[in-house]
Amino acid sequence: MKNSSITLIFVLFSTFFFSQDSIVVKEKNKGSRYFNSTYGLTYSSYRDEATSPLFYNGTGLAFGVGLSKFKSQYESQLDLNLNISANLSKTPENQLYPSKKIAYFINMALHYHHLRMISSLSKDKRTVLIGGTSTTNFNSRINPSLQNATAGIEFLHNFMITGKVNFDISRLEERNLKLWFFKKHLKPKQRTLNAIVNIGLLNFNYRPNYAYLSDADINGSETNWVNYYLNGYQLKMNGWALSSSIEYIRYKENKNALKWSYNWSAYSAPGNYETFQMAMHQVKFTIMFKR
Amino acid sequence: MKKVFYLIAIVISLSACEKALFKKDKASNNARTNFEYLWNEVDKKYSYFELKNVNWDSIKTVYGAQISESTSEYQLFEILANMMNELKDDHTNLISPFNISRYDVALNSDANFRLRTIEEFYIPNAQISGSFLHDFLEDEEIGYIRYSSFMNSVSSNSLDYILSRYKNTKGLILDLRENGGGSIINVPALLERFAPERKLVGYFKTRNGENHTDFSENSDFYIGSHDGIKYTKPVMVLIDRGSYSATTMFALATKAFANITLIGDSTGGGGGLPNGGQLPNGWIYRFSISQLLDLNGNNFAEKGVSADINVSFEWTDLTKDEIIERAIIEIMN
Repeated sequence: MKNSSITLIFVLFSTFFFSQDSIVVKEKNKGSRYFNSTYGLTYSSYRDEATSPLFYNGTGLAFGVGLSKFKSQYESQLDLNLNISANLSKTPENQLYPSKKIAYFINMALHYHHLRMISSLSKDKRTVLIGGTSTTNFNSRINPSLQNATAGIEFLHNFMITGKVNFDISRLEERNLKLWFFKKHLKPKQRTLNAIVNIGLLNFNYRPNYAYLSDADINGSETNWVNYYLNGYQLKMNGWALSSSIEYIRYKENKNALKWSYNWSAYSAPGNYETFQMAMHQVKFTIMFKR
Repeated sequence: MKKVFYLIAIVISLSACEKALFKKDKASNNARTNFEYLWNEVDKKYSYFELKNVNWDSIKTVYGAQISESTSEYQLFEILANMMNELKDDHTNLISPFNISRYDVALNSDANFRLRTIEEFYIPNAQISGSFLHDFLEDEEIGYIRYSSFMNSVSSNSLDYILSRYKNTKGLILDLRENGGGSIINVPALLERFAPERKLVGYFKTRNGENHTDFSENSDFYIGSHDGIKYTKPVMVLIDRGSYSATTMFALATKAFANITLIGDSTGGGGGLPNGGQLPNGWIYRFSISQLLDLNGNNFAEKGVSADINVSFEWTDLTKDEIIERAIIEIMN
């Protein structure tokens, strides 16, 4: 238990250590740096086979804060995201009463990527970047219908290879738009369109071992809080992770920027015995404040 | 520009392929599918096959034969509920929108508790403090405390008040008859008030493999001693076959403390902690997945913790509770 706890702590915080180090190094070489504030909608889907063969799908809200830095040769980004949704079981049509159950799904994700430009693949209006992403997901699920297994908690940590293509779609000259009766004078604007794909290379999960129940709370005040929640959990390296994003960024005259993005991510964590799988679709709006 | 659209199309199409990447959707209303799923879950995780000498394979043969393509949802519920009740375990339930199956252990024995007798003839002016009904007995020589369910929270303030009120008594009667259990976090919260010192009181172990005998190492079950107001004079804990689950755990743990005596009938059992899960048709199930062992490693709690002093309620005279009377004698002597 002690060894796995230490390993878990290392894995969970490796994103933070890694990101802190990278940011310090880059301080020497100033680029465009932003503080990001994100708001959006999320559609999540998960299935924990330890307690149910059914998928739970639902919509909710997404919030995030982050730091990003863009330089001509590389970029880095650190994000902390919170996704909250109410999910309904995907139950087959019953002959009598519907058996749909509701679960409350809270996902916290810490994400860091560091990408370098590949000059040989890049052109004037197109930049190709490749690098690594570290993502840690902490899920807390509350499904009251599951009786003594009401609470579900898991940690997923993935080291991913990342590919990003950045298209400069800026309008460099003034234009007059005339569409039937609609006329508009369009000023020059700096804009980019990004496509990002992440593929998991090292996929870790920290989940319940076999039977999905903790007996640690019987010891009451004698119970260590870590044992209370994580009794019987095991750290495993298996499964897969995939994610992708499309981002449209429009830079303002005051140097701030606005970003609209669509993000998709999917994870499979077999753990030791029964698989946990989840996917999230998110539509987000981000205000990027120039630092 | 064409390449931009191709790239965007590729990225978006990735998100559409999650269904192909995930294992197939197992939602199903098929009776056979649900039967097999439940039978397998119990087979993989139930914790008392050996203690109860249950032949789960032969039970599959018996109940599986009752399933056909025309089995209705009502019929399926009956078949699955009857199969689960073969485990003779009160922690076993099948929960559908139209019915909940259960195996009521207490109905196998005589009742030993009548609340009306206590309220009318022993504590007619009882106080209610939080989850506890209580008052003095025997000219304020004894305190009587009724705790009807471990589902009800054990408030520290309530216990401080109650134990302060009875601090000058010779002994306490803690009545846990017909207490069907509840939240096990309340077990140590209550028992540590009567524990003179921290003690190891038993062990837990949980199924951790597909063989019926696969279990984790024993986890220690400790009861601490409360730092604040507590009562360490004699405590008579009243139990009967309706004392189940968390009450059985409480009763087993009292065996480690010399100042606590169990009086009445054996508890109903329920030493295992139940999990919870869902079938492919959306119904919910639960059953025991762990075992509670005493300090010598004996596995009897599922069948009940025996009383130190066996006494029965006599239903011929409803003005008298023989179990309380015996507890009074034990304290006064």
